[in-house]
Amino acid sequence: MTSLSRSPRSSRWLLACLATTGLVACGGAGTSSEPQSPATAQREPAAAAPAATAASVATEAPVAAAATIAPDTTAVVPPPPAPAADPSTVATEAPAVAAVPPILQISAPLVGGGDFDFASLAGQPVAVWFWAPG
Amino acid sequence: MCNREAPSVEEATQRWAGKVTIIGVAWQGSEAQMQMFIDKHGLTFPQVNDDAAAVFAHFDVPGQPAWAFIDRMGSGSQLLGALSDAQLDQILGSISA
Repeated sequence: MTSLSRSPRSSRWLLACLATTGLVACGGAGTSSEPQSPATAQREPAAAAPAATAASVATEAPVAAAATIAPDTTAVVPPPPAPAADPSTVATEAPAVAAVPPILQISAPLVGGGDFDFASLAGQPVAVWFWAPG
Repeated sequence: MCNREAPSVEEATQRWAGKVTIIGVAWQGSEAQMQMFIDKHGLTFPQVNDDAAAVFAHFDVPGQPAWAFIDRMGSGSQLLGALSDAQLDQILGSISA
């Protein structure tokens, strides 16, 4: 008797479980057999799993994501800083190149007009030929 | 002397182009005379009008023809007189090494 009395209860309980399981399973399989898979895929992210992932990974995933995105952003940004570094490097080299030895610190008029600044020849081999038209 | 040397100096500027810069400095003469000399010999490298002899004095050159040579480090030396092609090439080679 007890078993009989329990059977309906247990059957109801089982039905309820099956129904619950069925709802989940059917809801997913029946409605979604093929077309729903994308729907489930869409729902799952919005469900608990994603939320949990987002919540738990919040400290890590975002960082990882940021780290992944950051490189892209930085990868695009590096070029600008690079040119900025070059000028500073050139700025330090420029004075060295601009060092004009005393022997080249003179300018004079050119035949035909204009001036010639011997300082512009600093750092390179130079030969000066002295002549007269007479 | 300068008329005889001018063609070889012009050739030297072609031979040493990109390795040694050669500059001419003219003295004793008007601008027109200097220009005539340049045109006569077809000189293509820069020529300074040093009628005031300021450049001659700066390089410690007492007369002409003469040469002054400056290496990459800015060390200079002077030679009074004309140079043969071989002599000039030897000196240009040493200051450009």
